[in-house]
Amino acid sequence: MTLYIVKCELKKIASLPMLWIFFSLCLILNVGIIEGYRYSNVDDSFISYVKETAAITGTELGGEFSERLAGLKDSEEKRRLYEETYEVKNIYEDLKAVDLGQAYISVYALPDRWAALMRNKYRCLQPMVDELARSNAGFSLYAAGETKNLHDLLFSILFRTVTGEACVLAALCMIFLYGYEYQNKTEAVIYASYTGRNIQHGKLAAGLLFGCLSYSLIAGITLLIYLGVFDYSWIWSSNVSSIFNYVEEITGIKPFLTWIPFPLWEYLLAMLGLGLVLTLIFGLIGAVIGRLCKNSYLGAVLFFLLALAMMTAPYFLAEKDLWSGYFISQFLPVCLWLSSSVWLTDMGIISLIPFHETIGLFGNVIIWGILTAVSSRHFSGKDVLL
Amino acid sequence: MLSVEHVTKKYGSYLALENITLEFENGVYGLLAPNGAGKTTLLNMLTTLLLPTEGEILWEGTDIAALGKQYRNILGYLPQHFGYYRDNTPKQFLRYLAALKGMDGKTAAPRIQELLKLVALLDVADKKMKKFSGGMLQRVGIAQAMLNDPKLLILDEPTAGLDPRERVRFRNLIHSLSQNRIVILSTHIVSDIETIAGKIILLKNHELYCCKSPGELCNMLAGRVFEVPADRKLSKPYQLLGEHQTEAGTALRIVCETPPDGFSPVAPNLEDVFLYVYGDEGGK
Amino acid sequence: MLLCMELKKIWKPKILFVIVLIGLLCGYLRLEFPLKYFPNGHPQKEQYQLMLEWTEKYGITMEEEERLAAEEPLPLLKEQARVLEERDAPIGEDDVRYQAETLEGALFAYDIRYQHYDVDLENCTFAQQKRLRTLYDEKKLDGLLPYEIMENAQQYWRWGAIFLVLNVLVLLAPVITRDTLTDMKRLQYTSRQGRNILRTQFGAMLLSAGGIVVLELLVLGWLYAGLGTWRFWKNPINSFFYGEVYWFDLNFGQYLLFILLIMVLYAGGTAGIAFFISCSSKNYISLVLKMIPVFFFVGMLADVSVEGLFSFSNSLNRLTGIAGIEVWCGILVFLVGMVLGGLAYRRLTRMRDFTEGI
Repeated sequence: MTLYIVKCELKKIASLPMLWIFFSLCLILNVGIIEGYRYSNVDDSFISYVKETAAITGTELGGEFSERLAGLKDSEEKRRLYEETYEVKNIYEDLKAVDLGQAYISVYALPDRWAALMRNKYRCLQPMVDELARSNAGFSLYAAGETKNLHDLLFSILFRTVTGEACVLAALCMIFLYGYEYQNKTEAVIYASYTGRNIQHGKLAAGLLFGCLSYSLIAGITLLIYLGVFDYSWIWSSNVSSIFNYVEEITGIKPFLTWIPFPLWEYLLAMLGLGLVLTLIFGLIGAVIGRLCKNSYLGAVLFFLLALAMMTAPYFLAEKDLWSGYFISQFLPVCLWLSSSVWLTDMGIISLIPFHETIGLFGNVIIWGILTAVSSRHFSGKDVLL
Repeated sequence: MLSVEHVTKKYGSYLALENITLEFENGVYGLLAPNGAGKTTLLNMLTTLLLPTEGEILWEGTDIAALGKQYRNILGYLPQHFGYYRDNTPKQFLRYLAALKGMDGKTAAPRIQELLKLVALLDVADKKMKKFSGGMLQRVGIAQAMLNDPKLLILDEPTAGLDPRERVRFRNLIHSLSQNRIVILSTHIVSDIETIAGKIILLKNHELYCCKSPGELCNMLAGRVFEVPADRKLSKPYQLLGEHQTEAGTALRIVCETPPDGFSPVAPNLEDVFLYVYGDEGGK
Repeated sequence: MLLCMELKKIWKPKILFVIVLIGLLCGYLRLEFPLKYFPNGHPQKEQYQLMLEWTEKYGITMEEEERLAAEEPLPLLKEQARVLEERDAPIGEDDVRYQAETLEGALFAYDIRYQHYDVDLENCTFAQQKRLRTLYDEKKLDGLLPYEIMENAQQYWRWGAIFLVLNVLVLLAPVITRDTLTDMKRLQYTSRQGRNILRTQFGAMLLSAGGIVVLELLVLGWLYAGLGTWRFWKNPINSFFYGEVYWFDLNFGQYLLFILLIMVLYAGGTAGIAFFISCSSKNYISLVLKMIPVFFFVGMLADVSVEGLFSFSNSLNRLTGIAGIEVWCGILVFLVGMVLGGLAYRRLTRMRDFTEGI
C-alpha cells in the first residue's frame, strides 16, 4: 500500500466541505461551553486571587500556608480562601478504601459474587490511598474552592465533548471512505486493479489517520482556547487528588482517587492519550459498519443506533439485575466514553478492576481490530455485485 | 495463456452461466450476446470481481484467485458503467489509478501523458471531469485500462456513448493495442467487432454456444442467406433476419434452407449470424 | 398519484425499522421513568389521590365552603397517625400518616394561596409581578391540580418533542439526496412534471412529517393516557397546590394541546430544514454532518420550549421575558423551515445549468 493511496484517500475526506463546517461548529460549541460554564459557574476573580496568593504562600496547604495567608491584605477572596484552607485534614490518612466499596455494595444491593470483586478492587486501591496520605496529595492547592468547577469543566464536560466530536467524525469519515467507491460507481475499476480489494487497507489507514488528526486538532485548539481563558501555568503540578477535587455520587461525596498519583499535567496527558485511543476505536467501528453497509446513510444511522444501544445496555442490564452483563457492558466504547470524567480513578459502581478504562480501551482496540480484519477478509473473498 | 475451465456462476438459485470452457491467446476476442445472456458476469469473473461457483479460471496454468495481485497486475479493465470522481481531472484520476495499479509516480507521469495523447485528451488533461461528455469519459476509461500496459485487456461495452467517428477511432486503437496481448471486448453491437476480432464468443441460454473466427461463423450460413422483395410471397419456410430499403423498394433478408425460386444467396455477415443464432428469444 | 409515489419513497421499511428501534431505545432511556414512576413516591401519591378525590367531589376549583368540608376527615386521620406514631409502627405503602400530612399540607396551601405564593417577588420582572397581581386580584389560584402532574407532563413530552425532531430528520433528510445520488434527477427534471417535482416532494415531506406526528402522538399519547392524568383535563394549571406560575389561564387539557401545537410546529420546521439540507447535499455523509447540528439546535429549542412551557421558569422566557415565547419560537422554527425549503426549491427550479446542482 503506497503512501500515495493513503494520501488520496485522505484527500477524499478533506474534499468534503461540510466536514470543515462541522469541524468549525464543534469548535464554536466548545468555546460556547467554556464561556457559558465560566459565566455561570466559575469565579474568575477568586481564581486570580488564589494564583497571586500561591506565588507567596506556595501550593501546599498546611501551617506555613495558613500563616503566610493570614499575613496578606484582608479581602473577601482572602476570607474565602482562608476558610477553605484553614486547618484542613489529610483526608487520606483515615480513609478506608473498602468502606467506599461497601457503600456501593449496600446502595446497589450487589450480589455476593460481585460484592467480593468490588471489595477486592477497593482493597487494591488501599495502597494508593496510603501513598496519597504519605505524599500529602490532598494538601495540593490546585485552584482551591474553584477546583471542582475547573476540573469538571475540563475533564467532565470539555473532554467528553471533544472526544465525542472526534469519535463521531472518525466513525462517519470511515463510513464515508468505505462507501465512496460504491457512491461514485468506481468499484469495478478499483477492485479489478493491482491493489484491488486491498484498497480497504489504505482506506482504513487514511480513516484512522484522519481520526487522529481531527482529534488532535479539535482537542488541541479547544485546549489552547481553554488555556487562554483560564491560566493554568501555576497549577500544572497540583495533584488531581487534592481535597478540593471530589466526585459526587449516589453514595455520597468521595475524593478523586486515581490509581497512581497524578500531577495535573500528567493526568491531562494521560487523558488525552486515552482519548486518542477511544477515537481510534470509533474509527474501527466505522470501518466495520462501512464494510457491512454500502449505503453510507444507512451506515451512519446504524452507527448512531449502535451507539444508542450501547448507551442503553448498562441501564437495562442493571434494571434486570443482570450484573455480569452490566459490568461487561461498561467496557462498551460508548460506556467508556460516558465514564470519561472518572477515567484513571476507582470509577465506583462502573468497574470491578483497577484501570478499567485503560484495559477497556485497549481491549476494544483489539476486539474492533479483529472485527475489522474479519470483515475485510470476508470482503476480500466476496463477490462485488455492481 | 488465459483459460476458463468448466465455470458456472449462480446467484443464489439463479443460474447466470453454466459450464463455460474457453481458451484465450493473444488477439482480439469479441464477446457477443444479447443483453442478459451473462456477458458481464463472465467478464466480472475474469476480472476477479466475482468468483466462480464451480470451475476455475487459470492464467498460465494458475488459478487467478490464487494469483491475486499478480494476476491483476497484468489486467486492464474498462467496466460497462465506468465510474469516476467528478471533481478530479483526468490527470489526477489516472494518477490515482496508477497508484492503485502499483505504479510509482515517476513511471506513471510519462505513461499518463502518453495515454492522454493516445486518447486525444491532452488538451483537457487538467479540466474537471464533471463537465466531460460521455465519449470523453469513455476515453478516460480506456486510458485507465491501458495504464499498466496490460497483457489482458477486458473492455465491457466500450463503445457505448461514442459517436460514429469516435467508434472508428476506437476500433483502430484496439486493433493497434492487440499485438501482444489478449483483448476481450464485450458488445452487442456487431459492427464493433466484425472487423477487428480474431474470434467471436457467443453465449446462449447461459452456456457457451461457440467460439469461432468471424469467417467460420459466417460460413455457418453460407448459401442460406437471401434477399427478397418484401411483397414477394414465399412458399418455403424461412427465418426473417431483417428488412432494409433498396432502390427497388423494401427487401427482406432471410435464412432459408432451400433457395427461393429465382434468387441466389448473398454473402452472410456477422449480424446475420447473430440474428440467426438468437432469433427472437433474446438471451434466454 | 405522483405524491403517493413520493410518499412511498419516503416511507421505506428499512428507515421505519430504524425509527422504531430508535424509539424503543430512546423510549427506554427517557420515557420509561415518567411513565413508570408517576406519581413518584410519597407524599406525591397521596397528593395525586387527594386532588383526584377533590376534583370528583368539588369540581376543578375549590371554594371556601368546600374547603371546610374537605377538612372534615383531618382530625380522624391525624388521630390515626398519632396512634401509629406512638406505636412506632413502620411506615407502610398506604400509610395514614402520609394521608394526614398531605391533607393538612393541601389545606394549608389553600389557606395561604393569596397571602404567599412560592415565587420570589423581589426577583420578578415587572411583567411577572403584574401577572401575579392579576392572579391574586382575580382569584385565579383556586384550581385543583396535583403537584407532580405538570412536571411529569413536561418531562414526558419534552422528550417526545426531541424524538419527533429526530424522527422527522432521519425519515426525511435522505429523500432528495438519494435522488441526486441515483441520478433520478435527470429523469425527473426532463419529465412532464419537470422541476415542479420538487414541489411535490416538498409536499410529500411535509405530509410525512404530519404522518410522523400522528404516529408518534398515537403511540406516546396512548402510553401517556395510561397514567390517567386526563381526569384533570379541565383543571386550571394555575393551582394553589403547585408552586409554578403560568402566564396564561389555561386548563391542563389546553396546556397539553399547546404542547402538541409546539410539537407540530417543530416537526413542520424540521421537515423544511430537512428538505433544504437534502437538496444541498451531494453525499450522505455531508447530509449526516448537517443533520447533527440541525438536530442539536432544533432539538434543544424543542426541549427548552416544552420544559416549563408558559411558566416563569421556562428558559426561553427567562432569557427574553416574553410571555408565550415558546410558541413564538416554534412558529419561528416553522417559518425558518418553510423559508429554507422555499429557497432550496427556488434555487433548484431557477438554476440554469442542471449539472451545477448535482
